[in-house]
Amino acid sequence: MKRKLKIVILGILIALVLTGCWDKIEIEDRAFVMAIGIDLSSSNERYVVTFQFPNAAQITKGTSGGGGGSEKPSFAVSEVADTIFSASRHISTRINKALYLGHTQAIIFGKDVVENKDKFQQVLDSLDRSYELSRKVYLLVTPQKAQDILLKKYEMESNTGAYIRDIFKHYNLTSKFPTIDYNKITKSLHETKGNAIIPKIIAGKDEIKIAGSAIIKNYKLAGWMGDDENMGYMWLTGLVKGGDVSINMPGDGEEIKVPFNISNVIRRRDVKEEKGKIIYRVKLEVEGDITEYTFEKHGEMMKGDLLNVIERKTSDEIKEMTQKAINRFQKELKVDMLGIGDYIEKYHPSLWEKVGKDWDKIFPEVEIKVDVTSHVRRIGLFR
Amino acid sequence: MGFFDKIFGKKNYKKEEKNGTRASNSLKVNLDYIKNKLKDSDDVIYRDIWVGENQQYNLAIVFIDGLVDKDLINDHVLHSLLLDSRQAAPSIEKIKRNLYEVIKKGTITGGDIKEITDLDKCILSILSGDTALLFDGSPEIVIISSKGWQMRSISPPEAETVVRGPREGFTETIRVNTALVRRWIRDPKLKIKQMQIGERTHTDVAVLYIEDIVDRNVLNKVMKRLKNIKIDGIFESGYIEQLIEEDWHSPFPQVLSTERPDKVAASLLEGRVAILTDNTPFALIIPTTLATLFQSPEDYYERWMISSLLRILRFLAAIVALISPAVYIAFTAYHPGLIPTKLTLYVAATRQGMPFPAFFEAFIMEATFELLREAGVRLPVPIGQTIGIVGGLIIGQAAVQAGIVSPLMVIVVAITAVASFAIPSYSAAIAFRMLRFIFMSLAAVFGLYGIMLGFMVVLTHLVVLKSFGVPYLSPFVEIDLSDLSDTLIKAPIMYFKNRPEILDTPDRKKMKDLREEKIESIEDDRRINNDKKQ
Repeated sequence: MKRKLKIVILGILIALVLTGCWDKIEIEDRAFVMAIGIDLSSSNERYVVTFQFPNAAQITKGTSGGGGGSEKPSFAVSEVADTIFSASRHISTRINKALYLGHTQAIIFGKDVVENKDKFQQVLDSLDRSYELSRKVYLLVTPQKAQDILLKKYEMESNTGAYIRDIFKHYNLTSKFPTIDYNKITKSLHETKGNAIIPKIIAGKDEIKIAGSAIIKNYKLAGWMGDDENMGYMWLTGLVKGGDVSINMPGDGEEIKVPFNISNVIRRRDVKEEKGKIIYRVKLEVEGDITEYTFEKHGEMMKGDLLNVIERKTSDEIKEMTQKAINRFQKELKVDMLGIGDYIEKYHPSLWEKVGKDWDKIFPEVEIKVDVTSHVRRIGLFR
Repeated sequence: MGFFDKIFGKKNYKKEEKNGTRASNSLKVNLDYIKNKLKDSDDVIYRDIWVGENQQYNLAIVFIDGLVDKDLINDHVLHSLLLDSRQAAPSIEKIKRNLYEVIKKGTITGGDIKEITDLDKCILSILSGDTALLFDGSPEIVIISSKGWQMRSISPPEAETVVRGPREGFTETIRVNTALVRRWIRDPKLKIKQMQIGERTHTDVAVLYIEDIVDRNVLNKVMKRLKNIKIDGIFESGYIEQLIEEDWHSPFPQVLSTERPDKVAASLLEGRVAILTDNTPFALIIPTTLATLFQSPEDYYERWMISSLLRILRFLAAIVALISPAVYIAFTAYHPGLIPTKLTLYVAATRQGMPFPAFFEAFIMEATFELLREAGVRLPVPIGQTIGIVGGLIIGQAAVQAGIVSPLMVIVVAITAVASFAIPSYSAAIAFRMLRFIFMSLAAVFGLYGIMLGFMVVLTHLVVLKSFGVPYLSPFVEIDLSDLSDTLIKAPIMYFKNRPEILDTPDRKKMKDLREEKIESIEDDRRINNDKKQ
């Protein structure tokens, strides 16, 4: 009995002393990286990895009022290294805390990274292997250097990672950039062998702006999408959840722009094969409000077919956007980023069996029809 | 078991076989025997009496000063024997034939008397506060129940107060306590079996049960274990609790102690057994399961919705009391990725420059809190409040401002403390308080993994644990789920038609189903209303 007890106590001691605490790092000893920027060095051989993390000591000082204002609210540190992994290790020679990526909100790729196929693939692999990174991280591409964005301090929010996350939070006010996170982007990259849309970020003097997106074709930057194309792409893929469409309407004398505020979008899709040609049909039913018009025309809105005109013009405007996106993807780039192949595979598997093998060749021939119907649900309130 | 036996030593009690000493015919011999036994006890009072026409009969009464009601002895024993018997003297013939019978049946006006012939029992009765009346020429001794000492009046149970419900609690006198239970249940089947435990203290212990409801297995176990107790003294029901419980290694109480007669009465009606002990207001209720530790009598007096919400709250409180400091340690030291980003940054910010790791910080604060609580219990009430202020303000506030403890830690400790007070059973709360420190150590070493391990160990232990044959986790582990209506939630009282399934009660039915009648009465009302309209 005594012997048994000794063995049990010994076992417990071994378990506690030899195994316990090995990965214990107190929370104040960690640097919570909020944003990571990845660039290539000027010779295009090494990586420049920038980590941005808030200065934890400054967080509570802000709320309690006053405190030393001279201290930096946020740090950004760059490291030049051969690989992303070595960068994250080598940086510990310069900062006094352990980097923790579990709360990273955004990863920004510089233009030079996405233009270099090999390097971009290596970066993606490194991110895929990281056990700390969340799959909800936002990936962004900047036409500048990622380092430039992260090294700057913005008055709006000194913590750049949180700044980016907050902008993504209210994406549905504008629909100016696609809300695709790491999860969706890697899924798209895996499924289409290197094609993806990544939101674009640019830094101004005192602020950042996320608008438009970068097209990645075959792990390489294929071009940028502006507002209209981008929104057209979002219409086709069902990403539009809000935002507004401006239409031209006759004002008191000249034509004026009237905003159609999108409140609800229903997308229905259908695919048919007619005479060897695939017809892909997207039906968009858009509901929204009119939130501005000329001052004197409040009463007239319900009269005649003014609303019908607004609805028709809105539909035309949306259709035009989608057409731009279709032209870009189908005619210029010839990559299926519109989810058509995905849709056929999931909902028409028999058709996919026929066309799936050489979808890349068939996609440019697909006839894409877009029907848009708009409904004005409210004409706004007046005081 | 062997390990503990070696540490604490096995006590072997050999019962002294006592064959009672029969009283003799001689008053002097009997008195001498008693005087010899109660030698050097100056509080024993011997009173010799002469009665009869010529004062020819010798009697003696023996009692202990302070334990007896002197008015009763004066009015109903001495007065009757010395004065009343002369005014209405019984016939001399009768007296000659049997003085003892005449006095017992015709003279003493005290209500509760009994006769014995065993001198040792006589002495025990005297020590219990009875008065012994000894006769010359007769071996019978009349014991007059004259217990009457200073006792605390019935007052509200301080550890188990309720907003709605009776305000009376048990007192230190077993007779008062049994009477309190009797007042709740006027059933001839309510049995109060009394015995004396303790070789020297001879403490009265009463086992209460309702004959046709009680779970016989439990009752037999209780009786057997009580009879097996061989100890010099019983001082509180805690002695009995620890001596009869199944697993004394366990931190969890397997016997519920309460000061409330209504709780005892309700438990008896469920088929449980109650044990009352003399000299303590705490009654024991057997068997006890984990779920009963979370029940308050008020749950049944208030309506079911609020009772159910409070039940859920109490279970949550138990979990909070058990693991919240541990979770804090695990999150801050191992898993900062599991808490929201803003909170992470805030915690990291508040912990900047803290000299201690989270575990030590938590340990210091929890230990300080336990210290304050212990000191507060010991101190008289007015100073106890001072301790609260010193603890709350000085230690909490000053420790934070000095930068030794992070403010979040103070919040965690405070929540833990409040949560541990929300558990109705004090002994259950103690169990959670103790286990909390083990969970904290586990979290400090293994993080959340350690907390899960701890949970598994505690759960395994609880599943194995039994209280007098009833699984401790029942009804959660029962096949029959009907008992669940009185655990996490308290169903409306109409659903308590039967007694708990976990107890093997012969009479299952508790209540007639009233639901149909209610529906009928509603329909009747509707019909009457319709008739009126027409």
